[in-house]
Parts: sequence; structure tokens; C-alpha cells
Amino acid sequence: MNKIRAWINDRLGVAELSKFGMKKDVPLHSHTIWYYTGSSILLFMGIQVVTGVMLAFYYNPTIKDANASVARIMTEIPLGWIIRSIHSWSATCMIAVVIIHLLSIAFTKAYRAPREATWMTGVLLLAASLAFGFTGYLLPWDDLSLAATKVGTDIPKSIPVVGAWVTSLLRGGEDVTGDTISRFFIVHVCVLPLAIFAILGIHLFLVQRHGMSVPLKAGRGPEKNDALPFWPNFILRESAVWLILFGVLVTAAIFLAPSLGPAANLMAPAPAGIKPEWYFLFMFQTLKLFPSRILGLNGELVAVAVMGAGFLLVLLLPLLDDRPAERKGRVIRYAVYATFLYTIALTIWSLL
Amino acid sequence: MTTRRRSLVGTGLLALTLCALVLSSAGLFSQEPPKPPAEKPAVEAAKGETHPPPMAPRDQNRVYVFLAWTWLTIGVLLYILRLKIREADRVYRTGLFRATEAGKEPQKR
Amino acid sequence: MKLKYSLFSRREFLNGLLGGGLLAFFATLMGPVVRFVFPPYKEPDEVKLPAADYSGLQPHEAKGFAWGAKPGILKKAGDGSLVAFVAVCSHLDCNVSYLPNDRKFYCACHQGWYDENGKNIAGPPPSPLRRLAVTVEGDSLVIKKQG
Repeated sequence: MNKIRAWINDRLGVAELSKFGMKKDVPLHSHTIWYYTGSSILLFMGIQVVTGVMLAFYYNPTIKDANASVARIMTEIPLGWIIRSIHSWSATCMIAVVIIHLLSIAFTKAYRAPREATWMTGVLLLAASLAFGFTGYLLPWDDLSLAATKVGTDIPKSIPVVGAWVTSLLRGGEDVTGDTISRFFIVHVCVLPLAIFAILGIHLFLVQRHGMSVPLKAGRGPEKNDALPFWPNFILRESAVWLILFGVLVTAAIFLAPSLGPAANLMAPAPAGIKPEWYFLFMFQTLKLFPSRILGLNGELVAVAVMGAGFLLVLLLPLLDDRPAERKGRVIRYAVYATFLYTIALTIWSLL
Repeated sequence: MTTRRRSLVGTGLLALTLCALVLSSAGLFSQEPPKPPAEKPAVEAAKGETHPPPMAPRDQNRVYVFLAWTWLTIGVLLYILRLKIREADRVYRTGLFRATEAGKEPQKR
Repeated sequence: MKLKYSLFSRREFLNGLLGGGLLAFFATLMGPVVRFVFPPYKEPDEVKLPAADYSGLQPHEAKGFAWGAKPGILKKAGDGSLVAFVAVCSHLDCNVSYLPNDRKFYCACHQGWYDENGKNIAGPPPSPLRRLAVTVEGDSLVIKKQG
């Protein structure tokens, strides 16, 4: 056994990694629990990749067979419904943990120098995760997903000059058709995974480079220098968290499995009560709030502009809050609270 | 520990895991795969929605047994992890490995 | 009773337990995964064909039918009896054809030949064509697995 280990180490230099792992420290303080969110995202993403590949064994991204193939997975393939359910629930959990991760970084101000690039790559990862959710939602090709995709791909149309072009790029034409399914499928299965792995690589490299950030308050306390080695102490704790999360995921997947609507009919009117996935609900509700014309401008354009501005603000947050002075921190903190409450409030409103 | 003893331990553990594998697949999944509930999708399709197959009680029970088995395994693993975490923390507190950063790690596995 | 020597240290035991436990956990998960990845394709137990479709068959003539996802060939033998084969070459699974002029089955992939009873006579096929049992039930032909 030792000989094999020595052989691998001579060629790959794995001992360097384990030395780094042992040297790397995870600070111990009252906010250490948030350090677990990052790896939990990785857990869910790994589950998505595995279940996604398995689903892709039987899924057909064509207008004729998309819905039928998903129905086949749910009824004929042994335990197909569990795999699909896990895929669906893991998507929800992944985006939920991404949002928790973002909030924890925002509230502990871990985006400050020198970690601005880490934050920005993180926001891009959030966008990629949402894109995963959006593209994946169309693939079962039932009434709900068709309607949601029609609405979602229609939003860019209100942008002047490039709007129609963007919508056409997303849809593979003017309307949502079979070409849209192919497009969304290849983006979901190939383009986005490549992108997310590339951005994730940069994100993780930056995290290792700068080390774990410690919140200001915790950094001044008596446990200032308390830390855990990453390997094996923190990894073991992370594994325990992963096991529990996995158990909860599988339980939810078995008891609350999603169903499948009938195949989408391109000619039928939109069904009543359409709504996107929960992570888009606040945007959905925001769009509903805006009147059709504001100050002579197209209401939808203003809504898109506002949401775009919001995204830019989130992306460039470290550049706005670039001083450790306490005063500036408070304003940003209230802004983050307000945004968070806004999204929660609108999400709940859209469900009523 | 001599090589012979190590290989004995390794073989024992491998046998244990193989048993777990065989038992889990034999006990739960060996019988012919559950017949697809042919009538259910037809009925559901008429209603317009396909729900995950409720399946015959026998198959439903299998899923619940699998879930219980998963949780049991998770529980056992959590217990073992607790022991391992306690050991790792204890080792860290003695400062044993911090002192040997320069040289190679003594017998750590 | 205090042991003088033990097989392994407490740490090694714990590590082994953890490793073995993790392996067992993943083994449990492999069950459903394997069942999902290898779906149960079963051949049909029997196939019913309308006899009218095959009533025009002359001796030494053959006509195809579907045996699940595989092709089948229904042939009228010289004495007027019906015989059916799974029209899949025993060499590498290509579909075989029946040549009525030669009264032989021919696999174009590697030039395999079977005689009119499905026995492999030339080329690479290692075994005869698989036979299926044909019975007449009312106005349909019932084709079943033989044996």
C-alpha cells in the first residue's frame, strides 16, 4: 500500500496538497458555522452532476419526446422518479445554500479587500446557478415550464437595440419551439457546467490564496487565534454536515416528489396560475408591480433596468464598500437587510 | 503493524463492505424489478398529470426500507465521525503535528 | 485480560471503521443507481400476429415481424409448417435477411450464412439463429419463446 502511495506521490506530488491542507487553518469563532455553506454548495452541485447525467441517459431533448421521456423516467425506469426528485430538490437546496452563503458573506463583510474578486466570482456563480435553474425548468416541456420560459425569455425584449436579438438568441428564433429545447439542453448540460467549473476554479483558488476571512467583531475577541486545521478536523466536521444534508435531501425527495404536467401545447392559452421557480418569484412579482408606462418609458424596460442595476450593485458591492470604517459598514448592512427583506416580502406576496 | 496484519485488516474490512453491498442489493433489490404500474400512467395521463408512481405497497415499502437503511447508515457514520473528530481534535491539541511541519509526518494515515 | 500485542492501533481501527463505513454507505447508494442505469428491457413473452397478414406465404417464403425491439422472420417451411426465428445474427448482432432464391439466411455484415432451418453454415456466426415457437390460435399467430 505504501509503495502505491509513494509511486503516486512521486509522480503527482499529492503530498504537497495534504501538507497544504494540514497547514490551512479555519478560524474558530461565533460565526464559524457559515464556513460550512461553501462546501455544502459543492455537495449539492456534485449530486446535480451525478443525477443529471443519469437523467440524461433517458431524456430526449426534442419537442416530440421531451415530456414523454420524462414521463418514462417517472414511470418505467426503476426508481427514475427518485432520481428526478433528487435532481429537482437538490437544485432548490443548492440555490438556497448559495443565497445563504451570499448573505453570510455580505453580513460578515468578508467581501472586503483583498477578497473583492472572490465576491465577484461568487456573484457570477450565483448567476450561473440561477441560469441552471432557468434552463433546467424548460426541459420537462410541460405547460408550466413552457409558460415560464416564454415569460422569462420575453423579458430581454424590452431592452432597446439588442433586446429582440437577445430573446432570439435565447429562444433559437422568435418563438419558443423545439429549437429552444435543444438550446436550453446544451446550455444546461454543457455550456453552464463548463462555465461554472471555470469560475468555481478561480473562486476556490482565490479563497485558498486569501485564506478565510474573520468577521471584525470575532477577530478582536479572546479566541482571536483559535483555529482548526482544515485537514482532518474541519473536513471531518464538513463530512458530518454533508451526511445530514444528504439524508434530509433524500427524505424530502422521496416524500415530496415533483409531478409532471401534460406535454406543452404551443397553441393553447397559458394555464392559470403560472409562476416560475421560487428563486425567481420576487423578480416575477416586481415585474407585475411596474405599470406598463412610467414617465413615457416602457414599464417593462424600467423594471429590467432596475433589476439590472440591482444585479450590478450586488456584483460591485466590494467596490462600494471598500473601507473598513464602521460607519460605511452600517449603511451597506442596512441596504443588504432591506434587499433581503424586499425579496422575501415579494416572494411571499407572489404566493398569495 | 506488520504488513501481514495490515493486509488481514484490509481484507476483513473489504469483506465487510462487500457483505454490506451484497446484502443491501440482495435484501432490497434482488427480486425482479417492480413491474411498471401500467394502468396508473394511463389513468393519470387522462387526468393530465403524471405523479410519481405510488407503486404497489411492496415496492413502496422497499423505498421506505431503503430510506430507513440510509438514515441508519448515516447515523452510524456520524457516530464514527464523532469519534474521529474527537481524536483529531485531541491530536491537534497535543501539538504533535505542528511540531513536525518541517519533516515528514510521523505515521499519520 | 490485557493483550500484549494488538492487530492494530486504536487510530488504525477508527480509520478502518470510518473507511469501511463510508464504503458501505456508498454501496447502499449504488443499489438504486445501478438499477436505474440498467433498466429492465425484457423480451416479450409472446407476440400475436394477425394470421391474415401471413396467409399469402408460399413454401420457402418468409416475412418479417417485430419481436420486441428485435426483428423476427416468419418462414413457411417446405412442408407448409410455419417456423419463426429471431433475425439477429449470432456473430455480432446484425440483422439478417432471408434470400428466397437461395433459401438461406444471410448476414451482410461479415458474410455469415444460415440454412433454411437457421443453422449456421458459412462465415463467422458461431451458432444457429434463435428459434421461436409458432402456434395458430383462432385467427392469429402466436409466437412464443421456445422451451
